[in-house]
Amino acid sequence: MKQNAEEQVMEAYYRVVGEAHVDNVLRQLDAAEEVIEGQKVPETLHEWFDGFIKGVKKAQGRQERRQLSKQFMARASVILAIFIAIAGILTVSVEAIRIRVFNMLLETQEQFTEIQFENGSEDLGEASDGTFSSWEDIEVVSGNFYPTYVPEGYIIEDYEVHDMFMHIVYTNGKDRSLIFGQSSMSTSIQIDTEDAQVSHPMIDGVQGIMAEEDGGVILVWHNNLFSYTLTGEISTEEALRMAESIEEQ
Amino acid sequence: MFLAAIEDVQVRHGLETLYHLYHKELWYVANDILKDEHEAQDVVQTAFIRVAKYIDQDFDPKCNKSRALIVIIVRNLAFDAYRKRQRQSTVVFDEVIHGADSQTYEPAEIRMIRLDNRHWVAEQLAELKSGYGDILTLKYVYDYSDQEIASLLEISEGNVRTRLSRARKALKKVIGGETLEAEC
Repeated sequence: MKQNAEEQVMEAYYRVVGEAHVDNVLRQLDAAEEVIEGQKVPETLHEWFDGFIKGVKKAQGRQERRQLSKQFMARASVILAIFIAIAGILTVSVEAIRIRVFNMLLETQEQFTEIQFENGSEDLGEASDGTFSSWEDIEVVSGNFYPTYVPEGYIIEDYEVHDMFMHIVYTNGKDRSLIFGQSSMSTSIQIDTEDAQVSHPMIDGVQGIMAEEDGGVILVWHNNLFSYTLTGEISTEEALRMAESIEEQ
Repeated sequence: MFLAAIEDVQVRHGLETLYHLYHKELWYVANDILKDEHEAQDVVQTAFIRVAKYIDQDFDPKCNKSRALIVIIVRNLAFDAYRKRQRQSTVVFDEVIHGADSQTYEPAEIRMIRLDNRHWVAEQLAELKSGYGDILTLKYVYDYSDQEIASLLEISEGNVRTRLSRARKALKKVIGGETLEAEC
């Protein structure tokens, strides 16, 4: 007990001396202020720091996008399930060749819904087993689609292609990003269905789903070949205009 | 998500402010020890890379504590670089400069701890070896763990523990001397 008390006293004293040490260090620096101000720091140090900060920004941007994509996928997938259900109903009476392009399997769990799609159509017959196994397969069926319109000030910052999902990241060069995604409708998705305020805008004659939350917009739609997603802090009007502008490249 | 983004921006601005305010004195400290511009630049760069990991949204680059922290890191990195340079032809820096530490050293009995002479004690400690005050400060003022100090100073955790042990012994020696002197 005595030893413990002594240790505590000494630790407190180390702190007191440490704080005094900080005072001394700063006093010495202040005393040398004139000399320090007269120092000529190499330009290469400034150049290094500029590059260092750019690297930090880039790393943080990547981190933010990962988080954005993660949340986006969770939200969008919820809405996607609803969307596919609606699309299935509509296509029965409209376009024979597109009817039941996908058979949708829904499995609702306590906290999420899992959606799987079985490709039952012949118009996408190049995938012999009825499903796309990779992005390359998708590209055989059709080319990639990109928005031909993006809100003013946004430029492409990044582009990624995963096995079953592609996304393009746009940035306004400041603090906002937009993510446009194109994915196979054979993707299996698990989603949390809470908190999304959903509307059903028409995009090129097909009903889509738009969710608004915390000033951000998530838009999900399709063109019978792929599903598309758009997420970011933009107005619903801008999001719809961007969605309607997609063209095959 | 958006709060995280704000925090990241604050961290980045913290780094930029830190550099803007103190780059001259950091350069001065490193170059004064090393007398070599290239090595001094390496040290300042390393210090920023190291300290960036420990900056959070509460970090205030303008406060004296932050200023002292980056100076202490630069100074220790510079001393280590100097030591490495000398090691090929000389014995260990610790022993050459001050001979302060000895495994057989027994600190004087501490009869009284006075707070009014803390700056003098800190000066005496730094006289023995500047790193002693630095390591105690990182541990007990900034509350960094041994692992964090090791990361900041680019040394092993074992080295941190050794330095802390030596610094504590040296401080006890200073206090003991002061106490005995005061009694005379």
